[in-house]
Amino acid sequence: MSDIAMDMVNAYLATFDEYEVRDPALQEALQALKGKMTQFARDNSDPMAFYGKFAESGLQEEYTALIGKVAMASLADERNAEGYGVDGAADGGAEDDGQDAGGAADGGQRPGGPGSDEMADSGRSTGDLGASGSMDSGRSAGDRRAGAGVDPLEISVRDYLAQYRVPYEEVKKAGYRKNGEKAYENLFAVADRTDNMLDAQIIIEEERLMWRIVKDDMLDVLRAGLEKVDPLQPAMNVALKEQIEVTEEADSAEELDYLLEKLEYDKIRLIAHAVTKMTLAAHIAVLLYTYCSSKINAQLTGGQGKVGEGDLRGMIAARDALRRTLHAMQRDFGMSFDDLLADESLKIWLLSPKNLDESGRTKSALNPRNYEAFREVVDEEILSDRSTIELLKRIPETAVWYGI
Amino acid sequence: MGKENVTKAIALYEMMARRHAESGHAPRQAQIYAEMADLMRDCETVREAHEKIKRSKYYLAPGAALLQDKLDALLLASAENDMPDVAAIYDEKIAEIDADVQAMYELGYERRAMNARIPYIETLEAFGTLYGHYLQLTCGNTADDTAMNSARNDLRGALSKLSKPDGDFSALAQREKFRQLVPVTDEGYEKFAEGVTGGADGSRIKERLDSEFAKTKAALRAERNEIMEAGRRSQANLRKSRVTVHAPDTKDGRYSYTDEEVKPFV
Repeated sequence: MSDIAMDMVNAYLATFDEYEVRDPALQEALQALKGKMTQFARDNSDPMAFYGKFAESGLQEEYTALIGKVAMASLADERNAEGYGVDGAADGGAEDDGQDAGGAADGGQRPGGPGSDEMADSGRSTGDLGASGSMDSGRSAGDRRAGAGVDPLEISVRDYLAQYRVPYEEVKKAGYRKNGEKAYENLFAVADRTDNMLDAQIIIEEERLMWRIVKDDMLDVLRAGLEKVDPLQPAMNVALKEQIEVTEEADSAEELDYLLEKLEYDKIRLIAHAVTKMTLAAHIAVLLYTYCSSKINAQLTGGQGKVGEGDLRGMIAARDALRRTLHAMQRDFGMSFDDLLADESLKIWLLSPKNLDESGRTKSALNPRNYEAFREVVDEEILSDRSTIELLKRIPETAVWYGI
Repeated sequence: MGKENVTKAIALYEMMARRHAESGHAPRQAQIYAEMADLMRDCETVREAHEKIKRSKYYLAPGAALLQDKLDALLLASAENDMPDVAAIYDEKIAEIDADVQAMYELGYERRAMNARIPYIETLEAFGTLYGHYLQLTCGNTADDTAMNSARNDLRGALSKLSKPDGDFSALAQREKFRQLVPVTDEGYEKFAEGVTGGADGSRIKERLDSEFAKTKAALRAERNEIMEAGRRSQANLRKSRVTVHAPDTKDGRYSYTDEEVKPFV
């Protein structure tokens, strides 16, 4: 099971910890969702496929809907406790739902629930800081938990920042999200720098501490994902690489939203490029093995009988197909067979590799001596002017290795 | 102290307005925070400023602006991705919030946008596989009926998945976004586009191969012994093995190969 997938789910679920869920029906729904999401993480351990499958599963929608209900119920509790009027509820509701909407509208593009929530949260919090964090009752969940009747102007910076302890602990628990941890610690350290909420909020705004949490933690998760996959296979890593690049480039939540949405097309394009070249190399591999095996069988049978004739036909057809393919490769990609052999990422496909782990870092494959064997076959037999009879009489200097 | 806090709150809002304006992706938030800063200027205390905001449109405005700026970012990107149906959903949602701020609580647009995106994504993905199918069809082993039929079916299957922004291959092939999905030269792309629409005519290849087979078969009798001997000697050199491949740590590295198990070829 991937730790990353479980971390992602835990990070999503940690958002619920910010609310006190009193309604038994909501408690039940929350438990059910937790069970389903945990199981989902177990069943979908590939971090690259996580968000797509999460969105497809309907869990993203269920999560969003439930967090909305929980937030609204929590606000209602707060309103009742504090004797707020309609305005008070609307105030808190606006910001909280802004947060939820932000998280949900990610459409699963971001690497973590906390990322998406905190992203919007940074907007919410800064909004809070001026309008409510300092002036109002402190609408944030942490403040809400602090209890009814607390004067927002008297709430300490430390208490205010305590609401970020839960996601921080989740990040810390992961062990590898060091930049994310540091970003949270920088936020908590604001409490050591000032006791004044407004000054604290100005520091947070000036130093972009919320944005740093979102960005740095997201990059931690993405980079960890990238480290796990085969760096030589673009089809496996190009989407993550691009996501890292745009996350590094983005300087705001909205810019990141824009770049990630744009990336939807680019990911498909880049993966299509990688897969097309892989397909080409794998196609050549199939033809080469077919040619070599047909040739040896045609030799051993002398091309006699139904089987021998079939092998002879197979050899002739495979050679012809290889010639057409190598011609197309040169015309369409400007690439010769030697160029293919010089490309470490591509030539592995000549060995019919099969992944032995989900990251593709370990594979089983045919013998790498085949690179040289194939070079000889292509140069001396496929592209040569030798007749089929001459080829049948030829003994290769480098033997082809087959699989066990 | 009261006025001092108001001054700080105004400074904070102005800072936020500036940041959003500079980002170029959050004009609504920039405007709202700037207006809120202005609204607070004549207040003596933070409490007073809060009460004033509470009674104004600015109570819900930051949340709405946050969501609308996000929707605008998604709209722009969707439009640039040539997904007008998706962009329209974001556009509609922005308008709904403009008309009634409570619309920001309704999140059905996310599912609608996701559903609208699916046919575009499927079309792009299917188009991206077409060159591979075309290659297998036009450069395939014509003696292998199974492989050729499979390539034909795969090509047909991929073509049937084309739907948005157009279901017609030729129309899509003209679009730059689709051209960019196929990493080949212009000459190669032209051949590919012709090949997919024209289908692969294997009759000339078949004639050529039949002729080569007949010629070889005729010559085979005189050479048979030498050929069979070459086969035996070649076979003696063949091996079977199983190898484990390890990826390097970085893209500049090379694969390493271990655990080689070798058996004679039987």
